[in-house]
Amino acid sequence: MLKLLKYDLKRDQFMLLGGAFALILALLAIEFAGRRAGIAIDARAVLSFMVYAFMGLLILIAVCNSFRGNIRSAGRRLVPLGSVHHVLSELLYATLLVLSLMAIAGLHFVYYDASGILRSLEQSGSITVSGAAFVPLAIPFNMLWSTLFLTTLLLGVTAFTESLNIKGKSLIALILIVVVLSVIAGVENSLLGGQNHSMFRSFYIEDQSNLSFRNESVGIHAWSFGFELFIAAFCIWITTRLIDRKVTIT
Amino acid sequence: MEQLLELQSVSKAHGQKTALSDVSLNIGPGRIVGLLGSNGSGKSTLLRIAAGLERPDSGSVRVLGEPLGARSKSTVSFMPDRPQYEPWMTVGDALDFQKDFFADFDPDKTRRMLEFMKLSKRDKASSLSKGMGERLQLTLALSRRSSLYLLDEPLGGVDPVARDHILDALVEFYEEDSTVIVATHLIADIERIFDEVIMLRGGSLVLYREVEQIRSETGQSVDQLFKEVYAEC
Repeated sequence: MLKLLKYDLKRDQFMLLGGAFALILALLAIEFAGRRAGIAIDARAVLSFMVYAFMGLLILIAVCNSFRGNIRSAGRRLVPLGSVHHVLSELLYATLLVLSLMAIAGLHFVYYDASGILRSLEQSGSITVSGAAFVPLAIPFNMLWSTLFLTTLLLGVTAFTESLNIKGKSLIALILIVVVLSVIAGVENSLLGGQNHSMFRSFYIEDQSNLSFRNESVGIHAWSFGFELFIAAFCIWITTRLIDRKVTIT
Repeated sequence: MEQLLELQSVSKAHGQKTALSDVSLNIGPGRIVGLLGSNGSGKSTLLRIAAGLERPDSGSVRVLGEPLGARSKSTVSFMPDRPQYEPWMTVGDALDFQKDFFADFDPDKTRRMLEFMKLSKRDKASSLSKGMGERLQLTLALSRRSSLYLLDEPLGGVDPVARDHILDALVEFYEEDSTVIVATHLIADIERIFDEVIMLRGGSLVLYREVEQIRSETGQSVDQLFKEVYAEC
């Protein structure tokens, strides 16, 4: 599994370094060019957050592309490892990339804290932090788990579409992931008291210049986590079955 | 004697098209076997199934008594008809990949093969010519001390000089106690090295016989027999 990851990293090293460079450049531009252009501090914070969200999306796309290529590659499929290794190595890849993104965000947070920007954002009401005791731990954990859960579903959908011998696989994958996410959200809401158990439940953008970081009702989230864990395990099982039996190798 | 590769009533279809139909075979160790047939006769499908890349729709396949799976993959070395290395890799990366995943990788044999094939570890795999690409493919397959080598069209699309070089490498570097199955339709070039031949037509087994037996019984070369068998198609 780690060896598979090693070759994913070797293959994507320039893309990853380029992505990290572009992210840092964008954040510096927002902070320093934005300050010079007179963009308000809260607007800059929201813009930075949007950049992180966009990078998160790119990470998901990169991991899906990597998985798609790997399960179709004769070289990768000839190695004497079970299909579950291919799935787990991509989940590890996603974890590594999200942790790297969070490390950059953490440094950004430290800069905001040290420079007093964070305090002024809180005082102006642009950032709301509730459930304060849990926030520093819960937000990274929620982000990581949400990414892993979403990645598991995406890998399942990718394996399914790669099992089909038709055109327009990307469109089918897009429709399928929307349907699957809606069904899971619906089931989760109906089973767990009708509350909104969205993936990114720790963040809210309440208006164009207000970010809320919340960690509420830990008990309900634990049930939600258990449910998602079950779905993820089931999805990994289905994905390995599809890889073994249906995915076409080029 | 334990059979190296056993296929029992193996059938496989790709959509509506039958690729293999009720094929049964037992291949023992220490043989060089020619897998012959025209395009679409099921040669590649048979090799891909034996390599563990495809599952048969029905029937069973065993390699050294093991069913297809991770363990069988560790004893089979497969050279597909398309590059198995990834475009971003150098020759060195492709060999490192083999070394990392296969316990039977032989670094000394690999070094000798690189020299013989005139390949450099620094060469970018995607920039190799067709002939050099085939040499790399063969190097990757034979870099291991496997029990069973499956080579899918190792001579396809290369010039006669490169073809001779690839054949020389095959004879020089295969393990004598292992079995090599070579799928090809360029029979005249390669029949001198075969111990046995298998002929497939439309996914069905037409013939599985020793080359000496063919020569003594029919007075024909394998190439001549092949042309006779497939002239009816």
